[in-house]
Amino acid sequence: MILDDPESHFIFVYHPEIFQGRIYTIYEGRPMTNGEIIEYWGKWIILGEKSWLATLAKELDPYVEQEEIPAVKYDREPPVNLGIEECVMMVYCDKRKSEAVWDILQRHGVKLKAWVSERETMQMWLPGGPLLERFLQSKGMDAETAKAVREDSRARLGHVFNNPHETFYPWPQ
Amino acid sequence: MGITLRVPGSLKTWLGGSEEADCEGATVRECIQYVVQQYPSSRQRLLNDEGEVSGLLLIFLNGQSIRELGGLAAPVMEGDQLAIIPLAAGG
Repeated sequence: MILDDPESHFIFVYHPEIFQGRIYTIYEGRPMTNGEIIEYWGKWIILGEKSWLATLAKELDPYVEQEEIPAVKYDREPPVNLGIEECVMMVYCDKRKSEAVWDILQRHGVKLKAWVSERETMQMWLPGGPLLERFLQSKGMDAETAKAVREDSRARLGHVFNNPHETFYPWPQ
Repeated sequence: MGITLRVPGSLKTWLGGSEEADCEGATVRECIQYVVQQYPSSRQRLLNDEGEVSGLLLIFLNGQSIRELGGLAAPVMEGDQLAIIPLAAGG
């Protein structure tokens, strides 16, 4: 199902049971641990016009309902504050199933092949990481607020890295 | 079959208006430098002031981030596909 809440920057494609407490970070029917997320989780990145991504999201929805794709999200508007002129779609899955998901994406017209692991994403959002620092700069935050954001990032992401055996719970967005 | 470089639509001006270009080289770095030679206007986007590949890009070899393949020194072979997206799109 497509979850399009105008209050959110993102539009999501989730399995309908997401509202019954189902989480999408599962592998072979079992919720993944923090350690497994760092080792295996990631996403295919797709950039394009929002209208194309909206069409693609509708095409991918049945695969999410059939559990061939765990989850999808894409930008409501291009994140120009981060220097990107197109919307970005992320098609989440486990690395061990990523080529099967890529085959689906290719069949629906995706050509640029770009896999980003969750580990790499998290490293980029840690204090000093290029994504977090660029985000702080783009928001024009004062030093005190930026420090608080960095500390929050360090705590959240550090917890994932430091507790590999705990079940991973995706952050609300 | 050569080596192909692909960019998203918003960056196609870097490749003379195309989302795809052929390139040559034994490593990712050499391929990027080859593209800069072919499309000089891409230089300021692809390279930094020191002439190194810009840190504001994410580069992929056959879909995999080159950060996990040894970086710009990762070897490239005939038939390989390179892709470049803005760094900020990666998270």
